[in-house]
Amino acid sequence: MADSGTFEVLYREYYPRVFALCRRFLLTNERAEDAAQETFTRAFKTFGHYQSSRPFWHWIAAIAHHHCLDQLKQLGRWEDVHVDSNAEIEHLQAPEPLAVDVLIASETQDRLNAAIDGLPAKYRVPLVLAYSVHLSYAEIATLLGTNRNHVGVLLLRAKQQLRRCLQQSLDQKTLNRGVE
Amino acid sequence: MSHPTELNLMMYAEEALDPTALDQTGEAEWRTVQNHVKHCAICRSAVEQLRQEARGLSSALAMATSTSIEMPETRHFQRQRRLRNVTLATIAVTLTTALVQWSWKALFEEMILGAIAWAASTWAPSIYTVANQIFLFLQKEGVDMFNNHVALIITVIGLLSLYGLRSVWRKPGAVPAVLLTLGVGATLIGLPPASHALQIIQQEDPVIVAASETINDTLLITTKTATIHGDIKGNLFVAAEDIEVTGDISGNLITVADNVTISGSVGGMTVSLADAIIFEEASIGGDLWLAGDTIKLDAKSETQGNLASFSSSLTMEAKVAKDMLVAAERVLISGEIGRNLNVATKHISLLDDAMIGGDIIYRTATKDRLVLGDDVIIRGEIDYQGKPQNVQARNHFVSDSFYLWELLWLVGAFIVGWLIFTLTPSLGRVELGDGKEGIKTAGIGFLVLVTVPIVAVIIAITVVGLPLSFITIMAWLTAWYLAKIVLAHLIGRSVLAGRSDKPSLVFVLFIGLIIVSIAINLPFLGGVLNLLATILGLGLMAQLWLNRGGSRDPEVG
Repeated sequence: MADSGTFEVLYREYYPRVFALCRRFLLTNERAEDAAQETFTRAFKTFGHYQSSRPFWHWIAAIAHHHCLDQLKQLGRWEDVHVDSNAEIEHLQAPEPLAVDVLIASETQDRLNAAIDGLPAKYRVPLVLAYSVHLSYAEIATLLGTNRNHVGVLLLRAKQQLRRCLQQSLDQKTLNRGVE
Repeated sequence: MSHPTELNLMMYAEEALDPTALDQTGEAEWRTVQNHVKHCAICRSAVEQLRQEARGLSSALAMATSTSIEMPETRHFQRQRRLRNVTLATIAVTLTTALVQWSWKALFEEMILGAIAWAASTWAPSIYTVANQIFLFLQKEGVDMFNNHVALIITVIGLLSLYGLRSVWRKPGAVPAVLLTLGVGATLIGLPPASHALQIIQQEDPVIVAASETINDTLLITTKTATIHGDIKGNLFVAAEDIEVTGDISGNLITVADNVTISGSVGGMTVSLADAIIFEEASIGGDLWLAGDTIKLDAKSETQGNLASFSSSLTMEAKVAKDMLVAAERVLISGEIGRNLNVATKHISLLDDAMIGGDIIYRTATKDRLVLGDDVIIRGEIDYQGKPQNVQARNHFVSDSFYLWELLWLVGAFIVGWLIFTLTPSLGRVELGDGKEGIKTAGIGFLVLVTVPIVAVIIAITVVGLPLSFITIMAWLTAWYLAKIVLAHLIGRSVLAGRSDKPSLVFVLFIGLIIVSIAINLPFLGGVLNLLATILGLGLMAQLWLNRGGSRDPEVG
């Protein structure tokens, strides 16, 4: 049972963030809007269980990503994260050159969004959970039903794909400037 | 030197290899990476780059989050929920209530009461004896306990009140509401005491007030045997196993006992609860209120007022100046009744000496259950009104008193409601959830309604817990009264939710109370709706109390 006055304030405050989170998972505005509404509906119903000692964002984000994962499964967009999990763990002998943050800085928000949206769900979901919701590796592992190391592999893969995608975009831009 | 993998470096950089949260293998892995990074400039740089990358991703995703998003109307979101949920909750709770009522009737009335009646018939003492024993126990132990703990009780109530009021001082209307409450409380406490003093006699040995003795106070006696031959210039309250009153009582006489015999005169009214009540040459100035198994008033007794009697058998040979109202299995009347005789019984006989100044209104299974002697005098008419259970089906909407009482209830509920919603604003924001939540609320309300008095009685049995039991019962009765007001406020808010401006508390309460008042008085459905309103209101209050920690404004993360 919720205190509707308080909940209304929280709804206004957090709706954009919840919507953005759902958008990250589900990729379309329509699905994200439905998911955000459903998230707040569930939160409203279970508001009595919310403990004020915990940040509200953590609580509502947990409801949101649980719901979004269910939606992804229903839509058939959720690949089994365990597929070839062992094969994915590569033992690199030396670190690769790292430049995602530099690439991010050079890209527009739209291109970055497109790059993240272009990731397969099994990489995109842990990436969002880690860097948007700020869950720990262990928490993501529990949520996805896998282990901590495998979460690391998924995140590394996500970053590698992101680097490639952003690097290609940067190369294309440089090429265009040269032509001009 | 072989470098750790990028995966290991990334997990190390993002503290996913925290040694405090890992097993021995994990701890070893962390130490290996840490030792390597300490001595390898390339990996140190890689770790720093990975950390920067993580920060870059976080800020990039945060930037994406802050982009402008068209937000749907909040009101649409909530209003849709409320209408749907209230409808579902109403249906669900109505079904639950019907089930509970059916179960209650089937289980409690038919089985449990049947079992109690059977057990009582074999060994248990009569209900009057039990009531008398409980009264004696509570009177003796309870007064002592209460006196010993009265300071503590008042302090606790005071502290709880202050704690409850701590958050409302700055709310609009809080100060006048608190002042009004304090004013009413102070007025009640400061009311002048009774004009005469109270004398209390508590002892195991028989209490005898001799014929030569005159007591000029109101007298309260609790003992096993009380014999009052002397005069009492005040009221007399007696709780004992056997009571005999032959003296004159100028005030009222109230007795609770196994056996009561009254032979003296009583200036005021007489109220008696006992197994056997006998009046012999008694003279009563006021009304007689009697409840017992066997009641007998002899031919030389009289009352200047009315007689109301509830018993198994009644033998009435006395003179009653005004009306007589009787509910009994067997009624035998040979006395004189100044006005009407109103009786519900299995058998009624009016012997030859009987004289009825007004009408006889009687309810029996069949009309011929009234037996009249040949010389009975009836100045009015005889009106047969069918079976006793049909009495309740009479239309109370046609009586003025019904509307007067409803108006009084409305005014009282309105004032109390205004006070409690001003003093505890959170009570005015409770919501009924959807169907499942509605059932939960009703369930909690039903539990509160049923279990709290049982718990209070159990606590009282421990004697030490008597004050706590008293407070519990008081709180329960208060909550019972407030339940319908809380629900009325919720209904008022729901009805007025569509308005563009925020309706005032007065308007919300007024609308809600009117709706509740009409609903609980509807023919046929009123009883169910009354129970429903009570358990829902109790459930809402209980849930608010249980969730009081979670209902505060949560910190924004």
